[in-house]
Amino acid sequence: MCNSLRHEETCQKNDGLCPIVTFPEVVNIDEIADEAPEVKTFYMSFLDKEVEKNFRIKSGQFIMCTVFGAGEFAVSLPPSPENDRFHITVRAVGKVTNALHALKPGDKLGVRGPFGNGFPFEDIKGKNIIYVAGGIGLIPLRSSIVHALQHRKDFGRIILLYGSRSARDLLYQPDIKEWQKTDGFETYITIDRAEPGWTGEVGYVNTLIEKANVPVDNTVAFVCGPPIMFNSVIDDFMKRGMSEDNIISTLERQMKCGIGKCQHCAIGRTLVCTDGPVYTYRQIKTLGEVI
Amino acid sequence: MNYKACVCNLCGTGCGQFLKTNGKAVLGVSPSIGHPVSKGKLCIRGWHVNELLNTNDRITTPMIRSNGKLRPASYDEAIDWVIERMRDFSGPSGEIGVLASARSSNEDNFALTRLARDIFKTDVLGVGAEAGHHNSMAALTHAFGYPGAIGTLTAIDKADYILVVGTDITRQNPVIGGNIHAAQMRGARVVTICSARTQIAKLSTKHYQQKPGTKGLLLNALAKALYAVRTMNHDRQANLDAIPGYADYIAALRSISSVALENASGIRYEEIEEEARYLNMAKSVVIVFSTGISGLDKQTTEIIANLALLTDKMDHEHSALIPVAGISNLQGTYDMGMTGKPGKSVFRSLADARSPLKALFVVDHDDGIIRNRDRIENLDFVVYCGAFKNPFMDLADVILPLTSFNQTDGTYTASDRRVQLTRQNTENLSNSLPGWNLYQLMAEKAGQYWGYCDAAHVFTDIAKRVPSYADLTHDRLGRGYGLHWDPKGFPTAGKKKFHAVRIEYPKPKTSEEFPFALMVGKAQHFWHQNNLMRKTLIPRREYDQTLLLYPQGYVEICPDDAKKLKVKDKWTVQVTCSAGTTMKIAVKVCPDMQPGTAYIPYFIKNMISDFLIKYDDAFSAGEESVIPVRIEEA
Amino acid sequence: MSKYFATSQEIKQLAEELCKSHEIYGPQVDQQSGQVFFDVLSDLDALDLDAAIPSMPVKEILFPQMERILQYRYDDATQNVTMEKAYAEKPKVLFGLRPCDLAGIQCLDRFFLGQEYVDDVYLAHRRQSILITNTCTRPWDQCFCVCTHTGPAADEGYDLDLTKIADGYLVQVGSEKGQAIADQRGWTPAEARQLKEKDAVVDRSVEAFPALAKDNKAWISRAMNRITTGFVKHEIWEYIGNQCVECGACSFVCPTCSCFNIEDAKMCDGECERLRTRDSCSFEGYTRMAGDHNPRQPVEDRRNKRFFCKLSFSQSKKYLRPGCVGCGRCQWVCPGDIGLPNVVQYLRRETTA
Repeated sequence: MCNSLRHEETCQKNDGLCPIVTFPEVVNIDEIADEAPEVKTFYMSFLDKEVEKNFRIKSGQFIMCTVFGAGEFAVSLPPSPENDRFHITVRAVGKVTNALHALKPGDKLGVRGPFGNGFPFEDIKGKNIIYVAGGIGLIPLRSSIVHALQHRKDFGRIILLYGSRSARDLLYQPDIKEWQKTDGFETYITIDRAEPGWTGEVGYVNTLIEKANVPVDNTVAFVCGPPIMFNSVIDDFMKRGMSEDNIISTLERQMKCGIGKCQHCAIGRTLVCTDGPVYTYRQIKTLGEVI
Repeated sequence: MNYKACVCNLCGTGCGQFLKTNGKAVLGVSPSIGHPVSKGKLCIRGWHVNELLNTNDRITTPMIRSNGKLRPASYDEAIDWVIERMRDFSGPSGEIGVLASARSSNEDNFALTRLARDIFKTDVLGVGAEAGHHNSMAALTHAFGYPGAIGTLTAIDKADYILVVGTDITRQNPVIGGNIHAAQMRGARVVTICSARTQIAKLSTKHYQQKPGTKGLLLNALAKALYAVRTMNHDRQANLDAIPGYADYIAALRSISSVALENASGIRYEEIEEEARYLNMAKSVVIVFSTGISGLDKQTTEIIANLALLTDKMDHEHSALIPVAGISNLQGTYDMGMTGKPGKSVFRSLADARSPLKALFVVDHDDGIIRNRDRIENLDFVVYCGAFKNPFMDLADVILPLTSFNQTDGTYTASDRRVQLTRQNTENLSNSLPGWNLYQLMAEKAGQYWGYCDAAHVFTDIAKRVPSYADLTHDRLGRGYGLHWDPKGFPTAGKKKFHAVRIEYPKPKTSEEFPFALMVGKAQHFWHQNNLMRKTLIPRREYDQTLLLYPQGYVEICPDDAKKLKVKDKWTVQVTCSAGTTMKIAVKVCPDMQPGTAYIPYFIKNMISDFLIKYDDAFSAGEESVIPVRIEEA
Repeated sequence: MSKYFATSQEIKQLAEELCKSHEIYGPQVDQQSGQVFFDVLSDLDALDLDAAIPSMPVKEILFPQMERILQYRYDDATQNVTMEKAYAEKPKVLFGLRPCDLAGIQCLDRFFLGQEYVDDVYLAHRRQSILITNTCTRPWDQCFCVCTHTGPAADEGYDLDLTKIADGYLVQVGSEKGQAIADQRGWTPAEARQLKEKDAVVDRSVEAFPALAKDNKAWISRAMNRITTGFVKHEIWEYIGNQCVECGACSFVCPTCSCFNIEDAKMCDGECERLRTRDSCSFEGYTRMAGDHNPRQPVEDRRNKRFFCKLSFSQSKKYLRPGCVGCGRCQWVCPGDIGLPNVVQYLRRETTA
């Protein structure tokens, strides 16, 4: 039992299976890949194969990951819910994530979760999807992108608008090349400032909205990135007449428990860990705090 | 019951608290509601002292360095080694220095004084924060006849008029700050003189935001206005006339020109005149100023003492003049004679490359920043005694563990001379020795038998040798909330004298080339330069918060100056001081600053070691030091 | 539910009986300072049911200031980890709770055991606890439970409830657990006059408020309305924020504050522990995220957050009552002048001025 009072509802997010709530399960780091400066991807597998079988995720959910000796941090899940390797992509920004970056294959981590509501999937079938990512904002979107592409025929246009500081900072480059092989997956990538060897777009990510000539009707947009990018992208979408309900984002907050108890992630009356982390822009606007 | 009374061992307020302990570990903290000063309040540091006392970063076993590496040893072996090595050095010729701790108990410091004087035969002594405290004590002794606070901190609760000179007191001593705020709420007039708009300034009835470096001038002007009001009212105080130095003092005050005052300080004399009327009307007056590491310079403390004398209200039971210490037992350390003689301190010896210093004996050096590190590295022999792990261990040849303050009995003297007893409330699991016992064993090894059986026994010796402590015993202190030591222990107590003051109109040290007046001070969670706070969880997180936002430290400037410099919050700037040193640091745009001033809380190591250290004034002048700097976009 | 009469001697026997199978906690007075603590009773004689409201909230027992929840050892060489749960379930009896503290426990129950997930650590403390309340026959200086409807007598949520009447105690049963205990005691059923006597005790206590509970008045409903609808001027929050020295005391002594922090710490022998410590939303680092982003920086925003949590309607829905139980402890410990009752005054003053 997962200790959830709303056991069924909680487990529904999880294919009917219980999340790992209190006691971390141990995973092995199988492989570590450098994504970008200070960003690494960790491929992992559970030691307990029974646990692994019962560990199902939804796009947009997150896990609490323990780096033994350093602490626990919340991290969003980039793998697709179906047929994807279990991994996390992490930028080294604090004490715990720096300790994580110092680990090597074969080291163990603790995992609790998955937690959170996740991105809509069934509800948006038949619609166009625009993914707008700034910097490491691509990490939480990756799961949904892969998932959507696995079900390509269920959706209209699928567009990725991705911007980062420089070419070196672009994440998942091999993945993106792979995705581009899928029929009708449109990608627009930009970097903030021109640099030698870069032949693609230059400028902030919101300039791509114009270039991609994004649709508005029957469309959902997933927007993820730093607040300043988020706000300018939202502005542009609103100008184009996009509905606030169709802009979807995932919020990040400091989290300690993941199960709605420690209150670190409280915004107004919502708790990002249990009510979120995925919100529509209409919801975000009413939260009453800075994003 | 698991709650055991004790006294907070962090700042010099001396708040009462209870530690929740199962006898082995400290699990929690509760404030002491009945404590006359803290009255149930604690600051973030006091509330989280359980985290500090729970840290695993304790020194648990004696260690000796051999072939460059530290190895565990027994106390016996380590003490042997210390005494044997110390014989190689000559105390009388200044080869041995003792750097004590202002957090040690009176018993520990008293025994350490004996060890230094009788065994090491040295008088090269000192504690971290002493320079500022010496100034305060000298100023008070001259004016009131004894080195200690006039009146007590509880006077704040009853006084009519409270003057806060400088000091960001709600950060440094939050509970005193809270008491002053409460006084303001009940109707006392609270006046703050400070060049930055600190929290206490915001909570004051009146804030004089003078130009940096002119506090003393402003206080002198207030004295002049007070004298003028009295003259006008014909209430000449005959008893004041009789105080030596009065005539000279008044003559000096008379020479203050209101135009020059306004030019120098930015405050109009008319405002000061009005202030003087309030001051004159008050029956009781409390003046607080900061002493110790960020304390005031000699001249300003003398001016404060003079003003206090001139009010002629200091004998009122609700009046007080309190040098507020940032560290728990700074006053007691001074009382025990552990602070160095002016001009002969251990710091002076360390800083002077030609001094004969060869060996150093250090206790609980909890400042995270070690000054004169190069010199210490090159000394022949360094002994470190402490409860918590510390960077000083890297420099030490012998390390000796000490108990933490809750693992042994000990008395601590707060800023207002309140001597309070903390009893052992937690088991001493690693069998560390309390300081007095360690020093006693060393003396014994050197052939001198002291025969102390416990801390209370040491205290009876203190009572014999320190006159102001004569009527105190552990037994008496253990009842209630401690007792103030008696100024009458000093034969000169009550013999008042004015300081001679010179009226100066400090010209701004700034110039076209160096247009900013840089001030240096405290940051909230950087108490004691953070070596202790870093061993907690929550205060450490709060400190890291600052560090994450401003990893290289920050310099506060006002929004207008930021606009002029074309910089924004968190942008990196280059700060160049007139002594030639530079550093790169982030900007923090802060509306509480006044134009042309900049403020750096010292919480970044490089700031002290590379930038400020060259600027001697920053240490000797404390809070009043002003460093002219240039700030440029980097 | 049943009501009984028990003599003081029988109440003492109850404590003696319960402590055979339970850890027993109760109010006791520190001899030297006179300060009251609700803590483990190493000596039953120390139990003082007439003592004033305890200086620290009873949540300390169920949600301690600092608690080890996990212990593990990571071996770098073999890359293996061993883990162990570090909290255990122990039957406890909380003997002589004041009604305000009971209300606090009810809020914590609804928060930690309600919502989507159950908090396992709290559950381990709480599951086998017996709650025995004690009616306040008089208020103390800082009390204002009559404003928050949490006293002077408890009305629900207890297992047993005691009220001191002339020659003993009126014992009311509030749960099956409580009934089971009562069934074993052989107390005499209460008579009607004894029930009346309790009502008179409660009435006298309420009547004594104006004379005795002088420190605080906080008619919170108007303030709740203002906070919920957002009609509080920014200047009022700023005025409150200026008085905050960010000590966190209000959260630590509040019977309903439940925020916590989790940190892993290395011990000297390579063993690691996961510590859960109480936290406060008034701290700047509380909402900070790794990297450089703090959504709630100015101190008045953080203050605002806490009072929103205590007094807003939406939050009250989670607790099924306002988040303030009228104990007045925050007013004791605040170095500023912004304990909750005062804040309520500030909010109301604005509305009435």
